[in-house]
Amino acid sequence: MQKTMPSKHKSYIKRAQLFGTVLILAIMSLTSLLVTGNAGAAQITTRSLTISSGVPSASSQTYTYGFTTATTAAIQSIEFEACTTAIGTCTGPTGQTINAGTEASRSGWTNATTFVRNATGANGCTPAANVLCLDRTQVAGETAGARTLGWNTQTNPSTANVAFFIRITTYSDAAWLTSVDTGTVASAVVQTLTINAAVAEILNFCVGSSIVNDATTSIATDCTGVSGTSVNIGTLDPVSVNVSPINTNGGDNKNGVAMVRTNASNGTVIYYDAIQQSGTNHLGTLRISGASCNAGSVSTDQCIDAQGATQAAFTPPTEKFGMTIGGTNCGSTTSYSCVYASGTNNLEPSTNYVGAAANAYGTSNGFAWVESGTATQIADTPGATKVIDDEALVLRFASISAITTPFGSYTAQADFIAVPTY
Amino acid sequence: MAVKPLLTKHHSLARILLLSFISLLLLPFFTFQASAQQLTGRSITVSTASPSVAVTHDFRFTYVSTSSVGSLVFEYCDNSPLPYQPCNAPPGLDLTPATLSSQTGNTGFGVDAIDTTANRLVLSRAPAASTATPSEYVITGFNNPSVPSSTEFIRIATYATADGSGSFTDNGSVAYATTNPFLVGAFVPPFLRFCVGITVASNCSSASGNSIDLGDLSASHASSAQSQFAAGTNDTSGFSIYSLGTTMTSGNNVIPQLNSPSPSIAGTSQFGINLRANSSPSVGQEPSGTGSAAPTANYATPNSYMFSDGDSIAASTLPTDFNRMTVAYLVNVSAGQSPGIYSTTLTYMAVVQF
Repeated sequence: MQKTMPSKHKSYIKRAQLFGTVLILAIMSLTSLLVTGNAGAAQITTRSLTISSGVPSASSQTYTYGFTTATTAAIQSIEFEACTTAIGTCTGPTGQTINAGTEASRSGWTNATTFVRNATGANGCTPAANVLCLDRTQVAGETAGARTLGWNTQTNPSTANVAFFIRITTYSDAAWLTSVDTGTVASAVVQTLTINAAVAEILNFCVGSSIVNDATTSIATDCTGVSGTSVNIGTLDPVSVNVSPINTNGGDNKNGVAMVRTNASNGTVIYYDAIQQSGTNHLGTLRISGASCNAGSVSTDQCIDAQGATQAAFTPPTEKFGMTIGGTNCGSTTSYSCVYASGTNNLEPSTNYVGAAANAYGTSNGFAWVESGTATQIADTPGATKVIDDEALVLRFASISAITTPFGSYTAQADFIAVPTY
Repeated sequence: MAVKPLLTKHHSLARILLLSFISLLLLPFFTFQASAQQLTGRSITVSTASPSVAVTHDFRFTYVSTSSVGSLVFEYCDNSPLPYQPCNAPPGLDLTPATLSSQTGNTGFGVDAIDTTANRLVLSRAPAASTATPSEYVITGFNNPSVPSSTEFIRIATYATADGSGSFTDNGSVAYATTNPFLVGAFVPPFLRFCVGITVASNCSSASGNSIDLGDLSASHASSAQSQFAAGTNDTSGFSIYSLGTTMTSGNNVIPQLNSPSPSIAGTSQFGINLRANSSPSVGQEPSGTGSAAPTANYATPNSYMFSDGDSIAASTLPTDFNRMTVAYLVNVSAGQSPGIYSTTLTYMAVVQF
């Protein structure tokens, strides 16, 4: 049996149904409004801002915006609003001015019409130091997609190490009324970081002996591989000149070497000075230590006459002792092209110690030796490039005895000194 | 969609805080670097690179700042030229006895003996404005460090104070290397160069001939010929040259030798030699060469001949360069000299004592 509702109850039900219907319609209506609102300003994606300099207060900067529009629609105006925060109330970053400049670059735009700054603005865009209003007349739609827009004459915020945000809104009309897409990009200006570094003064200078007798074969990787403190030019003879390296009659088949490595930018000079031995007269030449020798050129004493400061070839049987530089050995140089034969070496033998003409390796120019102990220059860096990377002077010693030169063991000693100027 | 900007913001803030922190850490360093200027044209010239020997160090550089300078400091280190690095004092170095022997450019300095240490030389003066000019300071009275083949760095700095204290104004470093003395050795052996021949070069580079034919001897005139020898030595007592042999013989027949210096007499049998240019007969040459050797007395008179086996015919008492001597041979025969082929073999010998 079916019960019959009271009319009062029916009335309540109808009212409830009506209220429900109204509520549903109201919700549907609101939902419709919300959906309509979201569809009107879609999110710009893949957003970026590239600033040409992150230095605070830097002017004349170009800000290049990159973004992907979500909506295919005309873009006839854009608002760029610089703020200290990404969302919420916008406060312009201190010192920043973006309301200036012209379009500097673009890519990805469907329509070629450029944007121009509008100093007046309207509706959704009110120009200010932190607000840039751009517009153009271009009713044709822009296809949704990636694009860039560069804008010049921008001034960075003045506060270092603070981020700033630029809110971007595109409009389909030319009066910032109907927004299409929106999004925010961020960047920061940072304190200029000055990086200082010190390059220490370098001098690696060594003197030793080597069997190398050319300008190309590596003597050693660097000074750590140079050894030896002497050269023996063997048994002298009045009929021929002994020139190092001598590999017979007691010679040790070696030359002297002086290797230099330095970053001295004002040049380097190499000197030698003959160490004064004991005895009388001619203390700095090839002599028997302790011997009493005669002043002047005497070939019967126990001092072999030094050639002197002026280079000359030796002619038998006049006794002589001297030194020259066979060439600058580049075999260990790695920092730059160094070829003695081509003259690309930086360390050059000096006048009176150039072994042979025209950068040839040899001793045909003769020898010199200053026996007084005075520092005598034998090489320097005359070219534009002054630094030296393990270039080595090949020191070649020569002597000849007279028939009357007393027999015995003869020795010459020298200091070699490098003077770099930093 | 609003979350992403917030994350970006947090990331940026973290980066900023990190950069700020690093900047604060580095700030003292940068400030230190920026406060000093580099002395320019810096060099040191050492009088010797030999370790542990008395040395003079000649410093040259150009001031950059013109502010007041009261002291100059030269700090020797063997590890680094950089002023903010620890300094290892070179072994064997003691600067306390060093003196300033000369100064040019910015002058008025003297050694501050109180503040100078073994590896830190302080030059002091009443603080005064400096000029940006090349200056030179020559330091002497001390020895090089003792380690050979070592690079020594000298950190140079100017100070406003008179005792090298406080922060330096300008600075810069120089370097030099200690090296062992380099030796060149050679050996001169005992020399005795001696050559004999009909002709020889003055330096014995050549010699030719070993036989003389005097032809037919005649009682009416003298027969003569000549040969040569040359000699040189580095013997400190020189050399002696001897002639060894006999007079000319033919079997048992003998041409008598001249036992004392005698003139040539045609028709008288005689055999002799000398080392001079003769006119009777015309034979021989004067000794030549720059050496000190000379004919001995019995063989040194022109036109006077003699021969005695084993006689010293030439000598030098000193080391001598080459001398070339010509031996003149004289033969006379009497009418009664037995016929035959006469000959002799003479040997010349040079003796040195070394």
